[in-house]
Amino acid sequence: MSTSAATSTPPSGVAPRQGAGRRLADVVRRIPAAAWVCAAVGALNCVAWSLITPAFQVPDEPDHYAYVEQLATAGRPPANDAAAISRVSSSEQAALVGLGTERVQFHEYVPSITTPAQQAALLDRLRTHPSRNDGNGVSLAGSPQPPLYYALQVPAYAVGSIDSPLVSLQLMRLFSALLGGVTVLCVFLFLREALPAHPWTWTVGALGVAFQPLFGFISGGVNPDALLFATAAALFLCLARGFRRGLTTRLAIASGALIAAGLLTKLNFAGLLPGALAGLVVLGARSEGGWSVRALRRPAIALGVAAVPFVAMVLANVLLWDRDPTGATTGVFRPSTDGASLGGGLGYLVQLYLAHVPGTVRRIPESVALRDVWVRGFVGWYGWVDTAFRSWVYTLGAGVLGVLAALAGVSLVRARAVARRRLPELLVYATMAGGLLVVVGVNSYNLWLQHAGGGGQTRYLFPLLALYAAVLVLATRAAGRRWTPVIGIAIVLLTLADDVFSQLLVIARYYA
Amino acid sequence: MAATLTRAVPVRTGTNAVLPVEALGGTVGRIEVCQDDELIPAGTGAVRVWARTTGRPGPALALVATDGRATIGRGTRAAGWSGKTATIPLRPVNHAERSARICVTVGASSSVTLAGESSDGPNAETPATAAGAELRGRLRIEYLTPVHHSWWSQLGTIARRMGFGRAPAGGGIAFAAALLVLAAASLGLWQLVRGER
Repeated sequence: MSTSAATSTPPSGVAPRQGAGRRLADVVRRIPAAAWVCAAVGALNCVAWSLITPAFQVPDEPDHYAYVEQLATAGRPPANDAAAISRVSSSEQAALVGLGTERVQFHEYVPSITTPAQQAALLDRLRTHPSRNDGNGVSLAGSPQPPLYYALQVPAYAVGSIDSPLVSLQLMRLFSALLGGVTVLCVFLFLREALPAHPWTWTVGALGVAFQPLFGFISGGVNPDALLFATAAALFLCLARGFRRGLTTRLAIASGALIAAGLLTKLNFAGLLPGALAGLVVLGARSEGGWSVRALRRPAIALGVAAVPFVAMVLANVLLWDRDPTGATTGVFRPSTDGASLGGGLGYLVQLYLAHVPGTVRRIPESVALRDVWVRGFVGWYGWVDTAFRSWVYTLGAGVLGVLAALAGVSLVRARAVARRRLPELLVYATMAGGLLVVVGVNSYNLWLQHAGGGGQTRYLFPLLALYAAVLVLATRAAGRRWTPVIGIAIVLLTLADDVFSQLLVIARYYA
Repeated sequence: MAATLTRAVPVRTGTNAVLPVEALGGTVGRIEVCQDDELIPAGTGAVRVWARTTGRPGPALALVATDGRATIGRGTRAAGWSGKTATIPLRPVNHAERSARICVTVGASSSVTLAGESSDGPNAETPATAAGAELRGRLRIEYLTPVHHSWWSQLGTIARRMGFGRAPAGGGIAFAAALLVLAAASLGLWQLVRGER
């Protein structure tokens, strides 16, 4: 039965809902079973991580929990001005003290609570039902961020609030794990649109993300990155679909909604914006057969859809909540002009992403940050960046990643005619990736100016997981059809091994 | 995986809860470092002290644990160790929890830096001493079982500990996590093989 036939006869008022429902059902039905399986694998892996990692040992988890608690109890996000001083609720404080969180975090030799006496003491603290209403949610990491992820976590928090904060936290972690599954689903569908030639390799790329251990660790915790990864992957999907099938009005609306969701989730999403908008403009021109004012109609629709919620949030920040309009100048994002310069900033970015250039001022402790921060983080660096493998594991991991990159390069060179034809699309993805690198780098430079700290964590680049999966797919195809299954299975097995050993590493660190 | 799970590793029986967050001082020549108010857990057969070598192989170490006038145990570690910590066997093995004064005589062949936590504040415990003079804080000490155990043999203990500090609590958490990982791996590999055919 066609959709048009179904919507032509029902009574007015009912028809649009049925039509929309059927369209949605139709869209869901068209998603291949393999995509659902990969999504389920991703979600299950994230749930496993949520059970393995001790409470509040995912980076900044106490801050993000406090933000949700503030939204749930006070109905507004925390203040984000410089004068705001953090006040943790008695309930969360009881859990943090009972768990010894501050002593465990950053100290890889201090395990989580390990004795029945410590457990009994924790339960005694929580049994008194300390107040959940006396905190303010203010934190350096959480308060500058927009409220969407935290608002979506409120129901999980509320259900858990009938018991202890530990129940709330676990339910919130499960919601994040669900978002992890959504991310993998979107990555699979992105691969289907962007690299349609060999359907089996989509599974390789999606499972490469589903088993990526740092992804599982972060999406198994309470952290807005979980929603950021999902919205970014979905945005890549929309753009890839547009490049393959053309930009329809519906796709423009979906893209705009995702941009809005991303902007309302985490400030880092702004890095993807220039590339995404450029992509929509290119798609608009393509769908109209050339550059014209009419070509801007659908990109304008996307921009409008994105702008409305964003402007609403800015107005709410200013008029209702007395917050900084976007949060982009507060907390860890508070700008510093002391000592800032373009040359200094560029030098910092080179050191942050590549290596220290001899003869220049050293701003990053690691001499080769690409190897010692980004690759190391990708292979596995857990807890509050305090739980690491032995160094040979990272050397091995860097070698494997290097081989994968080389194989993907071979694929690209072989398909250079296609790549040339799809150059605008590739440039859009490259602009999105570059934009994210710049935003993360500038934030880090800003932090370095203020605290001589800065640095980066690999998870900041995970909004680009869809592109990582594309690299895996290209690598799988590098050696021709005969070797495709061998390379594909090897990629998934290696990623799975990294995931399982990472989980064992975390278990040994906290519970041995 | 099998190699990892069967590998023998030292197992902690407890710690003195001091964090090695600052240097308490460096040794010069042969010196005795002592710390009161320690609690040696039952089953302890080795003591790990947080003493970092400074480039050269670590000096010989001799440990004596006393409770009042009674000697609870002794142990020595030959020169030549390296890294952030030194593990000294303690004999006889301690079968019941005992309060103790731990003294480590650091040899003169090279210098080490002692790591621990400052004893500032009203509720601070007595700082460690070096040659009778008070250091600025207490030394981190970990207590270990006398023999190494495989991870495999520790699964029960680890599973029990995984159930602490979370909700729902209990050893079933470890089982659930293992089941989820197994399910994810099986499902993923099944899809991979099925799709390839």
